[in-house]
Amino acid sequence: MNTEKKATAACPAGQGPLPSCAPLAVPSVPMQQQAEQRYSQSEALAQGTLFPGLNLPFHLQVKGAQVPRTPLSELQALCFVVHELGLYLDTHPDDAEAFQLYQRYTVLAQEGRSRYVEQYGPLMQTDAALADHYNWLHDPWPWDYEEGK
Amino acid sequence: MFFYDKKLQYPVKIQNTNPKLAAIIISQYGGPDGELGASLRYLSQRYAMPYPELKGLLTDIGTS
Repeated sequence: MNTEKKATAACPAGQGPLPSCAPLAVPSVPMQQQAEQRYSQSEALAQGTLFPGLNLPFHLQVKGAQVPRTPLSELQALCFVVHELGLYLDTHPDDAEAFQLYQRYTVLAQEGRSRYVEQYGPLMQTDAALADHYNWLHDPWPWDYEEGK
Repeated sequence: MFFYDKKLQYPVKIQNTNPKLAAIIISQYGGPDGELGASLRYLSQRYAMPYPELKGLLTDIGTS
């Protein structure tokens, strides 16, 4: 896999640059450019990716899922965006705009988690320390039918 | 080191159980070409990765 090269001219949406000359017989993968289009939170969770350019279902007719809006699914959407941005930054660590977004979303996700934990119970084992008793073992667990859905 | 999050990454509520679909999904996870095997390979191969920027990527994809 070739390392990323800075694009001299922007490619249209859904495409990425390839080097104009490259070593013989070595395959190259077009990489995402900076300032890629992004889905909204809930759309990203429904489509399974933050980037419309990477939304490439096996059968191209697939519609995004319908995700009901619950406090949990809002938090899941937020955490999903944080995760996707993190993966993007792993290959584009110098994208300042994406990094700022990552900082903002991480703060939002932290706040979202605290609010959710206050109301619905622990998400990480250490959250149990915030309650007045050790509530980590309470049902439901995620594979039980989660309340509120 | 991993933390367990007591929530699913994506909302799921099973209306009707479907053992055939479950078998297909499990087969995608398990076995020699399964996702679980791939994750474990990413997590073990990152120790040998010479490019520092890719150690993090392997870690994060393996974690996913």
